Amino acid sequence: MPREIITLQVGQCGNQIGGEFWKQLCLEHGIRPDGTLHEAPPAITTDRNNNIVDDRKDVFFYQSDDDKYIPRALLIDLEPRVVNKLAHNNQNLFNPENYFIAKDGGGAGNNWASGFRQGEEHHEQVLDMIDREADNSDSLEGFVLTHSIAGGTGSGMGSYLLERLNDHFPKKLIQTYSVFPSWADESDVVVQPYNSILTLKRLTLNADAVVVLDNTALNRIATDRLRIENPSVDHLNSLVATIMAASTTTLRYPSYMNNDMIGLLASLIPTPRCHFLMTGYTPLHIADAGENLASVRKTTVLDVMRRLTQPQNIMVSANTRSGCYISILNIIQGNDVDPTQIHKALQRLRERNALSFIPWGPASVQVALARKSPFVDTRHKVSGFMLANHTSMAELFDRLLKQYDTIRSRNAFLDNYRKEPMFADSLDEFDHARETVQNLVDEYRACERADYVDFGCGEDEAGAMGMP
Amino acid sequence: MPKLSDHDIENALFRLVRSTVGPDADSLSLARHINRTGKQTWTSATNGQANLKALLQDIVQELPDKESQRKLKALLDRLETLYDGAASNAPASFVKVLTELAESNGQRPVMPLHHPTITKTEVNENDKRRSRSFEEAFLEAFNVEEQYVLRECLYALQGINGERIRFVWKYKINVSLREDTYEGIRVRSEAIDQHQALPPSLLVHSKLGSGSKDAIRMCCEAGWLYSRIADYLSKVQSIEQGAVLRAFASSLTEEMHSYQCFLARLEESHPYSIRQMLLELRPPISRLRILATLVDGLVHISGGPLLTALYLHMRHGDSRHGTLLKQILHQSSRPWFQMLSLWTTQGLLMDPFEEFFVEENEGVADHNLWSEGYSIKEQKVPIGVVDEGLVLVAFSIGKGINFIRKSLQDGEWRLKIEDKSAISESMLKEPRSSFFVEDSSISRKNLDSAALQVHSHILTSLHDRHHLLQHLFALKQFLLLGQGDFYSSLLDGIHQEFEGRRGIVGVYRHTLAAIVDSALRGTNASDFPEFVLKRLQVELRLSADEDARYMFGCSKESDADVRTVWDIFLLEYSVPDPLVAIVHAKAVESYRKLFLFLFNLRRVEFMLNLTWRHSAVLQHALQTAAQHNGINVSISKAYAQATVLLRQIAITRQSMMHFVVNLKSYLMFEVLEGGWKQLVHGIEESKTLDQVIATHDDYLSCLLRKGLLDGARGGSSEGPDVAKQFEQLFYLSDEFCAYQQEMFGEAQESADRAAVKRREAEERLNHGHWGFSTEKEVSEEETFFGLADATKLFEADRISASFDEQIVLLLQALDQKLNGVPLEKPLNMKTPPAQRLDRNLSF
Repeated sequence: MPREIITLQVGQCGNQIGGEFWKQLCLEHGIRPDGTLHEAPPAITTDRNNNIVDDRKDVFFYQSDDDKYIPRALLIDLEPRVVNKLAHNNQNLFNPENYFIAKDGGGAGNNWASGFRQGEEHHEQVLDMIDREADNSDSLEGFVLTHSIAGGTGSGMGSYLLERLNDHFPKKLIQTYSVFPSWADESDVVVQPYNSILTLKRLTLNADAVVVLDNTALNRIATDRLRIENPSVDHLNSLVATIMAASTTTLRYPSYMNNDMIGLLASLIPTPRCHFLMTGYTPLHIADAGENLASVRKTTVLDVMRRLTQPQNIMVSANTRSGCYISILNIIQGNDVDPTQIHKALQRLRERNALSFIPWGPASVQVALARKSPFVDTRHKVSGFMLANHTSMAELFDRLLKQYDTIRSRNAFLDNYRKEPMFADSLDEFDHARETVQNLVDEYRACERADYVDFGCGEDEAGAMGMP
Repeated sequence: MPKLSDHDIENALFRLVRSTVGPDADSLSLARHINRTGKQTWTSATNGQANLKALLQDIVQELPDKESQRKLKALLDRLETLYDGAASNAPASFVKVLTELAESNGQRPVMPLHHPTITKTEVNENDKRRSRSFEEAFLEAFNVEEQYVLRECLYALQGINGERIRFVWKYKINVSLREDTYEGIRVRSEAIDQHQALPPSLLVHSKLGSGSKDAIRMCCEAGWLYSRIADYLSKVQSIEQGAVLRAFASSLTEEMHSYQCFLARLEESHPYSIRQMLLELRPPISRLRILATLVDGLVHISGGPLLTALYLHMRHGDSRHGTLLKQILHQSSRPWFQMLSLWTTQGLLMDPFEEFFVEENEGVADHNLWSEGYSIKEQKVPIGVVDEGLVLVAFSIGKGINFIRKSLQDGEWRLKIEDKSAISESMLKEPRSSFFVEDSSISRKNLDSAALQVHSHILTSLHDRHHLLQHLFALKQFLLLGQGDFYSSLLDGIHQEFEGRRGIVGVYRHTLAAIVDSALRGTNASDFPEFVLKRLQVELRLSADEDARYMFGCSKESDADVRTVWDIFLLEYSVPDPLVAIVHAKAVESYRKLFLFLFNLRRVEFMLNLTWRHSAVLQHALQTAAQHNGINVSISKAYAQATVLLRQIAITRQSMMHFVVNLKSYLMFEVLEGGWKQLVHGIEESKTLDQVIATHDDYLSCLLRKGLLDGARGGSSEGPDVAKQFEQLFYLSDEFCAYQQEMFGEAQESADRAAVKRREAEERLNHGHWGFSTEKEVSEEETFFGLADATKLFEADRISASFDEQIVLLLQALDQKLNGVPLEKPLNMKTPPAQRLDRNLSF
């Protein structure tokens, strides 16, 4: 029972980062673009004591009859461009039955409502595909959705799928990798705030965990840390692929801990609503960027763990100096990491007392140890990935709310939405979504206080319920 | 008053008789008679004159001729008168009377008592020569005597009774004195025993010179020593004895033989003067003395202790003593070294008389051979003969050879001995290069190289043929839960199979085995080779009487049984036979202890994750329901109540999870992984199987100690116990999970019902009807699946509070264990407890 995970790539952005993700996974597992295996590098299938140290491919892949590895992935888009490109680049990797491209191929035109509607229109076909994949697995653990929250297809159709999946597979986990728009260049898509707020509502209500990929922060990191001028989408996607691959290492290289998604998420997300996770990765480099990488010459566990929590390495444009951590998980990757170093590093971090944690419960840095892929030749001995649940995430939502409020107060750009059935009668859904997001922000803020447990009910009510 | 010895009396009587009768043949027979009866009579004689008179009358009767009889009678009469005149009847005066009597009777000065070594014939010869002068006669007699004495001495030297010198063994004294009618010197053994000179009465007055006396004394001593040794030898030869003792006896025999040769030479070189003999005798006698000392001291020992004793004798300060002993030791140790050689080259134990220091224990199974098959008998180690350091080496070589043969089933293997005689011969042939501590370098080299061969073969075989590290790795991955994905899958499987079941009714071993199998197949555990996987077994932890009942699933009579499948599930890993030497019964016990703890921890984590999942699902349902029913979540009191309950539960769960996760990560990083690295390193460094075993034992005890499972407590014995606290915390977490599951189960059911209704309503709505048809449906949903319930919140609070309480106790226990002092100040509850726990754990 491998606890399979099915990946749903929705929309242009979702498919792009999904494509990069699979590229990275194939690289790490030694799978060629056609699904066949590379010859294992010498002495990697066993350690020096002849013990098998195999990776685990069946969480994300399954094997076809001719022993090719096929990703458990659905490539869904309303326009053919990106999916076709992916299909072209990875000749026989994906199962051709798993491509879904809307027949008319017109896309959603950056309109959430259009994406949502088209999602509903095609839901039978898409759900059939999902069902087929789900039936194909022994013990499905859950779904991973990759999408952007600002566009049309990924946000709208993605939102629809989130609701549907929740209903259809109530017991399965849903994790998303959601790309948040860059707020520096608003010129791109003016309705981004609308789409984002509407999607955020679904992410809040229907997803179990959201890994926030903040374009703003990714841009910043590419420019500042990697010293790439005008980073391209490919550059950013490569970063995203690194993060996505890193966040699944414990699933793919099983060891003592965090070998399933529940284990990974349960301790990160103590209260189900605060499930937006930020990431960090060090040392960063981009394959194409050559020597441009941040010059990290020596990596130790302590070093890596310290860098991971430095605000400039966190891939969310929120100030982690304010607010507090609800939880942190550091995944340390390296083949010769001395496990006892980890506790020493934790000790040092704690002595510095640089991290503030929630006041209403115990919390500390958790560490998982994972191997490095033998197929990937990295220049660093140790690398680290961080998944954190931090209250400053609310900043991001707050910013989106403000942007939303700005255009919503003018009722700008609403015409395209009114054309869709959801908004034909009223714009209530906007208000609901805004309220949900506002509640989320409030909850995050409440998390910073010791009396968080009473959040959401007045003083007198709490007394009436016999609270101590 | 001085006590008179027997000799005084005898002497006095002799004189009396001789003075009366004259120095003729009859006086000799008289003397003999007196000798025979005198002492016996004397005891009574002292009591009164009547007895004495009777005695003397007896003597008179014995006299051969009338003349003598008459003379003695007259004498007796005088004695009577004299005696009456004596002041008392004390023996001294009696002797005095006798002496006086003799003197007054004698015609000439009384010669010193005629030496009894002169035989009758000689006396006759003497008679012929009576005419010659006294000096002449004396000298001649002396020469004749010298040759005679020499001959007698030669007998005496061999412990043979000569004509005149007899050995009277202490234990035969009473008998021989009475019945032995032999006339002559009795060399009494007790005289030598007591380091006394020969009876003065017999020698002092003899006409022998002091040289002869010495010679006789020495010869008698030698004879006595010789007899003792011969005695010992015959005793040894008469019993079943060990090889070492036999060798010792034969080396003694050899010595005796050379002594006899010496005597033969002595005899051949006759005539010989006593002085010469005395000179020649010294070295052999001193050797005899040494040998006799040995024989005396070594009566009851054999085997190794005999060698030890010989070695101790060898250390004697006298170099001659040392040299002799060295030779004897060398010969005596030969069979011992042969045993050693057999043992260290072929692993054979040829020791019917239990002389060797290795003992084979009967009835030990082959897989326990290393630990129990053989033992060293400390008292049988010949101290000094072998370097004590080598004893262990030698022991392990032989044991290793047997281990290879029996446990590793490697009958073909032979020790390669470069120089065929390397081990055994070198130490046997030349005493110099022997095993003796002083110069054991050569044999040490040989033994060390043999040990190296044996151990390297064992280790190579264990590594290559018996997959030592793979099995240890499998033990870590399976019994120490290193194979995380396997355990995720296993827990999932068990949970699905037995969810909601109470008690252990219907728990079948084969059901669990099937679950384990499917977890093995479905995860990376399947990459383990077949020889590893087939060693995994599912066991049920049941008492012996239960075992029979549960063989085919549980019977019904266990209502009160609160155990669940989790409590009785046990995974075992049986290593192949040769590895039992390393993973011995005690190690298996440790593994089991660790497994139970880690599995429990893992299960609690699994259950917490599961309830996390449930509550997330419920949260989704709650929100969906609220949304669909158009409830304004910001003002609904019920919604708020339900949310608070869920949040309270979430926070409690969070602190439990934090505890579990931190404990787990501590165990993993600090204990298991670190320990494993050390183990692998240690095993790679190990040169011998013993080192491997010790490394592995250390590994396990380190895991137990660091895993806080060793039960030892630092400081005072009061206060909470760490292991108990863990149990308590696990129990609470368990209770909490059960509580959640019950609640969530109900809520989920009603949520599912609501969802069905909602879908129906949607259907109706789609068909143009009213969504919800009745009031009731809406109100049921408004209660939020019964989550807005103050009693439930109260229960959550209670569990949360007691969990915090137990955490504090755990911290105290930990603190006590680590720092040895009970916690002084009360804990500051503002810091989250588990954070402090974490700090404490990182010692």
